[in-house]
Amino acid sequence: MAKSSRSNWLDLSSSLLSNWACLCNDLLISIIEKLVHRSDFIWFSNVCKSWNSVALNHRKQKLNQLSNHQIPWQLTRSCDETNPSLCNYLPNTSPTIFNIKLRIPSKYKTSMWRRYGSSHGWLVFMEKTTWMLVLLNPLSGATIHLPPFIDSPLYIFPVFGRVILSRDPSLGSDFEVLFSCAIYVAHLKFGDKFWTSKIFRDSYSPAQSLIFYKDQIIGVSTYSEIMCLDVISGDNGSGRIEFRNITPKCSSMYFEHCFLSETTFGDLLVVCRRILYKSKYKRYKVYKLIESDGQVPRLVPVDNLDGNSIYLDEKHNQSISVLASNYVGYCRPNSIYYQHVYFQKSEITFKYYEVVAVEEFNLLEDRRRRHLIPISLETFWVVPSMFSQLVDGV
Amino acid sequence: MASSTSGSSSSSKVVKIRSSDNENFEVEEAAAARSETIKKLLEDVGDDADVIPLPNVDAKTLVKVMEWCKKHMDDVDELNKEEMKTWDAEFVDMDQSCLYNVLLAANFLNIKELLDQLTQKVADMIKGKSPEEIRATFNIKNDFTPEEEAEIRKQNAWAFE
Repeated sequence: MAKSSRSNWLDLSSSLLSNWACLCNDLLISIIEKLVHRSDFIWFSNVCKSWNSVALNHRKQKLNQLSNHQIPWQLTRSCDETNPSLCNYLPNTSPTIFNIKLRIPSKYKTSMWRRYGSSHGWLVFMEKTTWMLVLLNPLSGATIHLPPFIDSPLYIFPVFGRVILSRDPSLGSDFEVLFSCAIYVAHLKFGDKFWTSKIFRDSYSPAQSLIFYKDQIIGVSTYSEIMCLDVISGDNGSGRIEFRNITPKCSSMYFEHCFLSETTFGDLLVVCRRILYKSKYKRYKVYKLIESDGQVPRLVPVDNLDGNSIYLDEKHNQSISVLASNYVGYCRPNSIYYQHVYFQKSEITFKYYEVVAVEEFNLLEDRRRRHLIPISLETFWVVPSMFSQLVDGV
Repeated sequence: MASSTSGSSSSSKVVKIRSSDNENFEVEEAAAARSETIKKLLEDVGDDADVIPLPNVDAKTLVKVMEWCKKHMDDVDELNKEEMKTWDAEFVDMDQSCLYNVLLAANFLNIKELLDQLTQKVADMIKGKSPEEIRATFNIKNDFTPEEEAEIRKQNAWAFE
């Protein structure tokens, strides 16, 4: 606890000596807000007791702010009982495998079944025996079991689902979980016993990609229409989910993949990627949601990412954006890094085999480069997260 | 007076301010009003103001702060934005004790934009430095016991690798 907030400027006239340790809290917080690397924040908090106290009080807010705005890690795929490792195999940089010990409980090493990717640094998977979703922080070893989906018949249970969290569960239990796939969407406010869900029986879910954005859940369709997902609460699982369109459908804007990403400046971008690629089209198109000027919200095409770099993956998990100028040498401004499975033909057997690739597309250069990764990786990105104090929650 | 060359069309009214070490300064009102604190004082006392005392800011620091205020007195058009950026970058490039005094003065005088630039400068000086290097840069004493320090390091082991 901070003992008291000290208004130190009163001493100024009597002493010209600087006393940075006793800078008032407001100024220290203002400095903290401008730190962009998690490690800088941690180092800041280790300087002296008074800085440490301010940093601890501001920790939750700061780490929430940083969570999806750091250069993400990748995770090696482990086939046996050995631990996977965190690593960086990015275009333009030399590959690094980090010497960070992961704390994955041994019972999960072989049974991390149906992996749903990673969100805010936590791995998400389904436990084989119980059909429960498990969140696992690979740095701390903390696990959180989520309530089972009672309304989802097993036969529709999706293999290709994805899970996003509204924030890092290490920073407190006020987080939300969203599970989505083509025919099923479910929302959980952590602490509730029941998911609120919607099954699509005759059609597919309109939202191809979803994001927690400014206290709302926003989705995008393959026609780049933006919608809001409303969760109407009810007792004992009687709540429901409704989709409400924000921008109209535009049939000329069909893309196989549409992603949502929040930039470091708080703008919402729609990143559209074509799979069936004809040279007359661009492979990527990016739109920005404009909704603040009193007019009807609309998507406006943009030809740059305001200096951001954006990390996406095939599974449409939470997208990560960083300001490239803060990570010189690691990423390039206005580049999209898309991590996916790529089928390469063997020159010896002429058979196709799977490799993970990172595709870099630079908007200004309008150019795509594929970077094949020589080791076996998971296709999702993992953002660095702090150790968790939260133990098995439910 | 030389102030007539300034772009502001309003009568370049001058206000008097006094530093903590009793030096008096005459500053154009538009410049002084960049400080919310001075602006509020001026509104309160109206035209009766004689000298506005600023008991928390010494003369050396006040000169520096007013240099910034004068530069930022008028709206900057697009053409001059780059030039202003360079000027600002040079302005905040001062030694840590001077930076400290200007920071506290800007806080007391409540000049939001200047505060923003100064705290950004401090953040830039922290970036990429270890706790030891930060302490050396800002002349801060390590007041953790070795046990406390070891405990913090253990908690955040990966940040130190």
